[in-house]
Amino acid sequence: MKPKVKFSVALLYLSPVIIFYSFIFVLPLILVFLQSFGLYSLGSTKPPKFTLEYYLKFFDLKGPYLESLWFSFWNSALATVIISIISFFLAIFFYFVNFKGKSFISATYKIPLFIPYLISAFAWWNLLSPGGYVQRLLAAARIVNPNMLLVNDPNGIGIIVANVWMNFPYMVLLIIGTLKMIDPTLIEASRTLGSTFWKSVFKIVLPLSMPGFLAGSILSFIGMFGAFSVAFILGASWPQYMSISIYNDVTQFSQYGMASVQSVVYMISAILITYLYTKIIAKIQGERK
Amino acid sequence: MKRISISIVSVAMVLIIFFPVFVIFEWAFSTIWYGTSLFPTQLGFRSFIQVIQAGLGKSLILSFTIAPLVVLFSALISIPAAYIIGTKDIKSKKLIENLFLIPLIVPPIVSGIGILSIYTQLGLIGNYMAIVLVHMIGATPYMFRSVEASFESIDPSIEEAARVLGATRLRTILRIYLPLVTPGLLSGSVFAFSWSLNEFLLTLLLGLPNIVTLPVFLYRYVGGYYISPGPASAISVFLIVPSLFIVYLMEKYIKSEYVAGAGIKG
Amino acid sequence: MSTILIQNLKKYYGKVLASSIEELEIKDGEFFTLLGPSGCGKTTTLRMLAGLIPPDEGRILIDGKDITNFPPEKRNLTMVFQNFALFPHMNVFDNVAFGLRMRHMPEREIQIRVKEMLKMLRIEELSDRRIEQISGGQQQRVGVARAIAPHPSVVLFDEPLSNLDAKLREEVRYELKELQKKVNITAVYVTHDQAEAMTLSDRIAIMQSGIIIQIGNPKEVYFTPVNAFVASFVGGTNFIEGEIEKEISQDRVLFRSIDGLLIEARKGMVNNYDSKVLLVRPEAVELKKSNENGIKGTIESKLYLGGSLEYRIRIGKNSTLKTFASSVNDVGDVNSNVTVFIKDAVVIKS
Repeated sequence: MKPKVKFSVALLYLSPVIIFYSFIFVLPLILVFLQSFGLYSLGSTKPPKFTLEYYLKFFDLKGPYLESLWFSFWNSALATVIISIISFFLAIFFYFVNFKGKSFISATYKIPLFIPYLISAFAWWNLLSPGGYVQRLLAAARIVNPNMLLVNDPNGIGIIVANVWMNFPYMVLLIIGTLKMIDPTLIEASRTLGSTFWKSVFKIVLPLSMPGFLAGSILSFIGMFGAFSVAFILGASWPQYMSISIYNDVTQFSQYGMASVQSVVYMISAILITYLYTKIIAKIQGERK
Repeated sequence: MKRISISIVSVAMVLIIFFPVFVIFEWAFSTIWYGTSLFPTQLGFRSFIQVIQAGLGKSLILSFTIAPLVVLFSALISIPAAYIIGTKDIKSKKLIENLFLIPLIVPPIVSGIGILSIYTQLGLIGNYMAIVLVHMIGATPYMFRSVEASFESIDPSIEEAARVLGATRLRTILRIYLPLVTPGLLSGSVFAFSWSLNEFLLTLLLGLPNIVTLPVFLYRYVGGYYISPGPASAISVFLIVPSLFIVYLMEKYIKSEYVAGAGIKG
Repeated sequence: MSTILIQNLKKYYGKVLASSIEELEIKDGEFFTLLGPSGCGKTTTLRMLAGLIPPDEGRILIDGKDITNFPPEKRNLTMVFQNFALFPHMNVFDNVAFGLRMRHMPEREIQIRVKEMLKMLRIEELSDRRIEQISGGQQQRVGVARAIAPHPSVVLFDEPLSNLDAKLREEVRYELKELQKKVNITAVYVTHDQAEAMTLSDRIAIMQSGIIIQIGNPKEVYFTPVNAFVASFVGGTNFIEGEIEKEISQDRVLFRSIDGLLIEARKGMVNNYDSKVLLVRPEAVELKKSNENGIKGTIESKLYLGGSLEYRIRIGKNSTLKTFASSVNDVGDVNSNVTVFIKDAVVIKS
């Protein structure tokens, strides 16, 4: 049994981390928050004054901001779904099947984890832009219209492809981790009761690995939701990921107020989504009991 | 049937992973490549020379000196926290663990513009150590989770044994725990190093004009309206090769399954 | 119910022979047990029957049909597992119904059949419960109900009682046997517990190092074990070294012990060229206070076990016999003389 320790004692050991994050993280966020209400401003000549104008502008249904937020959300969500499906099948493949060269393949699929996002994005830009190998291949196979843009396009196709490539190894590892926690005799029992291998996978393995996998996938989704590099290289001028919109407002348009509001909403969205996600997972697990 | 599907999956996997990497190498070593042709017409080192002349060396040095510092400092602040959370029973344990996830959930641009304000006021834009601090924001959670998982797995009676044999808490940490949490430290270091090497947005916002790390250097050739694939690929090669080397090391000495698992709490 | 025929079945793990069975026929409706210590290959054999591991050589036929290459789900046999292997994300009803749903039985019939199974195993009231809410003994019953529900031709049991505490094991043992006879399925049972094997089985196959040493009904295996290993595995033993002096009748011989004692014994399953030893079960040794006809012996040690006493009697320079007596029938103290009557003995391979 681990000895109990009072929180006040723990505080001492946590202080380096707490001090660090207070200055480098919490303080900046507070500033952004204040800035969104006009109470502080980096480059403005106006004296600080409380205002809701930036928020009103953000939530204007005819404006670009809500659309940007929505785009960031659905684009990342779609990528997450695709990653989940691919990773699940790959994880089953790696966990249950033994074949020659398995260790090589096992090492290979982890490579994207260690290639910087900017480079991965650039690589896929290479492959998917007009004249790139993959674009040519898909056009020749008539899977896509040769005139269709796969990068810098309004659907964020390039973004999704690059995101899938970069993130599926993490998910595969995650799912394999959950597979390891499932009692193998459950699958044996299922097979002796008449279920084929794949039926066992869907009726036994999938439900049992779901909670662990969902819990881990949220980080992957949020990472893509708030990412910059991929959208920067592969995104179109419209619609934009919110990260790009904020960046432009700061570096190009000096619109610090709008940048701040977008940041606040962006941050709260990310936290809210994470919170709801974990609550739903807990509910599913609770219902099981 | 089974054999065929295994082969298809394996081949597809290798292709999908290596193809993007291959194309980068192609571009890096090409000197003339027309848009219409499938392969470069001429190979050479022109792109490499170009980027070396443009300051690749400086970027390399910056990236590969900042990263170890990030690892070191994030380890320093993480270890005490990981020790107390991992080895003791504290009421708000779950809460604290979740708090560590927040830097990974909040989009970097958000904290970025906040830090921009602060650093501008303090005159820290382009400051070396200031950038190290900024890299630590994302690196520390990974370091913490990894090391904490290691601490968690240690039998608590080991500390009791050390204490009754006369070791102070500090000595216990240094001489008993640190060797035992080495796996967690190692995998956390890999993640932290990787994070720092990778870090782009915040360095772009806060590091210019002095701190041009490899990703920022790369940005010069892929940002803006025009992408120069040649030099961009040459720079990428310098980031890909160490990454591949790390993958090789990891597979050989540390089970990556453990690494990823260490970052995930049940 | 079905007959199972195993021919030349072999499984290697690397160079080690894990299991090798030349010819084995399990009859219709039989309760057949594979008994042996851990690592003897009984579980390997069972799992090959189930289709969970592929054999390296040989064939398995059920009712004359060669199912050696069939995957588990096509063999129409089910298995009861040591750790129960109940599906944690389903309740009791759904667990029992699983095999029926895999066979696409209409839902209405499933309801009837599952209720019938739960009733038979006396766990009707647990139908809606989740697996973690029920006890080990109850889980075991669910596992059995689940295995029987789909009308399998054979049910395999992989040490199903090992995870239950001793008292529960005894209760369930008896019920399992009743159940098997009632439902009339062929059962192949694996255990390392000789009491289980003895009480449950129609026939027992004792395995060691991957091969079957002896097959017989419990009485045969107990009273006429083929060698010392089997003898020790199924009961207490006393071994007396010596040789057969002469044959008295077709199945009785006169055995001369190494100390020169002449003991009448059953011939057992030995051949002329086997090295032999005489088996005398502790319960076959009767002690009386000295000065009667019989073998002269001295009490070498006496252990007080509460309700019984364990004696070690020396009957010759190289022979001692272990036996038990109830505490109220104490025949003497250590070093006192007793008379020993050997009520039954059999010659076995050493």
